Amino acid sequence: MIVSRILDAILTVFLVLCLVFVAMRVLPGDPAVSALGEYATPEQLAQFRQRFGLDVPLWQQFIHFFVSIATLDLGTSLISGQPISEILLINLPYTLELSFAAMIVGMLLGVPIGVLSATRRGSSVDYLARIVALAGFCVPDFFLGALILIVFGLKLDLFPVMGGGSGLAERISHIVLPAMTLGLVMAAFTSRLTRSALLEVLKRDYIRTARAKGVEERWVTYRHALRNALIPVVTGFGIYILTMLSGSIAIELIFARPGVGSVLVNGIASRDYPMVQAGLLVFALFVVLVNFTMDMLYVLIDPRLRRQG
Amino acid sequence: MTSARIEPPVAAVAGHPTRKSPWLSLFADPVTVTGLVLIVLFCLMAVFADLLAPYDPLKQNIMAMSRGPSSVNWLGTDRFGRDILSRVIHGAQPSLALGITAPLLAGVLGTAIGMLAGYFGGWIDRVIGRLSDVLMAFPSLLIGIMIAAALGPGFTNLVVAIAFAFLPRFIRVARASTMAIRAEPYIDAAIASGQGPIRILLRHVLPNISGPLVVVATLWVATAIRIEASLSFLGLGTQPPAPSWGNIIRDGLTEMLVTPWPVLAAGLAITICVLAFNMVGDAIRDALDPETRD
Repeated sequence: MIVSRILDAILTVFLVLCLVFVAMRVLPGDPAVSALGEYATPEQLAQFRQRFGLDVPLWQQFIHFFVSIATLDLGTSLISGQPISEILLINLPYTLELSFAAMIVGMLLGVPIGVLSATRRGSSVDYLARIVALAGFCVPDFFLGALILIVFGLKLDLFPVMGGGSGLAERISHIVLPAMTLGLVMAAFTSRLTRSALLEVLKRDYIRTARAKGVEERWVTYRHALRNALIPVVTGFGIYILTMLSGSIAIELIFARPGVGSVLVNGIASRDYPMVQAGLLVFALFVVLVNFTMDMLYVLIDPRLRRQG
Repeated sequence: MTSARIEPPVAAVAGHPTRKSPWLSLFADPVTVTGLVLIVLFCLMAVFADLLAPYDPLKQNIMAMSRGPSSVNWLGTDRFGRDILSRVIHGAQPSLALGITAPLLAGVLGTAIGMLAGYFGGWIDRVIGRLSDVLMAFPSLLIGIMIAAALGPGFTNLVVAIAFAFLPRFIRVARASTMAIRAEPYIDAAIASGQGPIRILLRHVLPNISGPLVVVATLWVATAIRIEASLSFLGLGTQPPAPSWGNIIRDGLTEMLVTPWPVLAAGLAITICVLAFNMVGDAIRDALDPETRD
């Protein structure tokens, strides 16, 4: 079971790397032209292609691409000349801590709201929760981020709004507003998912049996129902972590935070082709990693899956 | 009682209900009607932007930069002195154009690929299934960013990027529905009567799987609008000075302390537009595909 999942993940990584390769080299849009601009001379373009190994046949580029990833040699930035692996190492922790903080906010808000909304179906609490969940889908995360920035950062001046901070205390104070933004979006999704999963489970026969036995309602909800309802919540969670991760790109831009998203956006803005490729690579690997972890968690939560071949 | 006609009992008529078109039920729900009205308003706004907008959205005015709302500029001006209201009205154009073309393109391509995979099966089907599974694992925004980053900005590239992000969703639905239809006896009958596969796919399969595909397409319009806004916000979508809701917000960020109106107006426009398409999309799903109703 676990071995097949690992093989699956390796195959996915391979396909994802192919996708990045295709996106960067094969699709129309010459990287040399996009890096140097439309007015570059043919000599400049040829020089660029030679420097980045774009002048050799595609299959050689393909092999070179995989070798350089395997050896973690992602090249150097066209703008700063810094090795890209170094830039990523500096920026990665900021993205990870933001995602982690947002995930905690999303879980702590979303699951209880979902439970409340399902157990009091049709009440005003339920309606409020559902409106908030709908808003979470319709309000773009970067607009929510801008609103939070205006209200809590600029008008009330409660938290710093620029950069990532250094030192533990500063880093925590810098993460509050971005994590709140992404966490709220995540909470909207989580509460919606928890609600529908719990409602589904509460309809089952074993819940009726438990109630008929005289089990206390709270015990029924948490012990019998929520545990089973969590299975779809966890799988859905994977999708929302990834949604949030792609949202973090815009959030990092709003709060001027360092992070992989900033690396990508700055790379795009400054036509720094190796940086863009590295940024895309990190996000693509994130996707594979999160999906793999979710599959494993799935097995942990649902004992039935452990016994299947 | 001379001309007494034998009327069928009422119960017999009620027992055989006249089938109302599922589309008609859309107009019974006030939420859906609100959504439809909003969509019509947004479409009118996009089509008649030139007539509705009080000013040229690109015209700069050094004398009135970063102003708040006034009787002259209802929503104020941005840092180049451009009228925010005019820019937000014109910003509806890229959003709606993309919101409709991207799911349409993804729908046409995805249906064709999914139908071929589902009908013929075999290794082609396995490869297509596997590839769309891999792509499905990616949030559509992320795929959009990847493709747009590789292709560079511009409307056509944006349509391609977002359509590609949606493609696996359509392939999956078309493939599964085609596989179900493939097992029906009338397909065997069509094969036996000597019809070619393309003819069978177009005449017998496509009409039967179009329902769920329309549902998928309408549900993704809202997402397409959201992704367009995000990409424009990130600098990958509609390029300034041409206005789009996403780049108005990005532009407004730098002067948010002076005037928050550009961010607020464009953000509300996106939110309401996405909400409207979402309401109608959900209603169409419920009408055409009642089993998936929450």
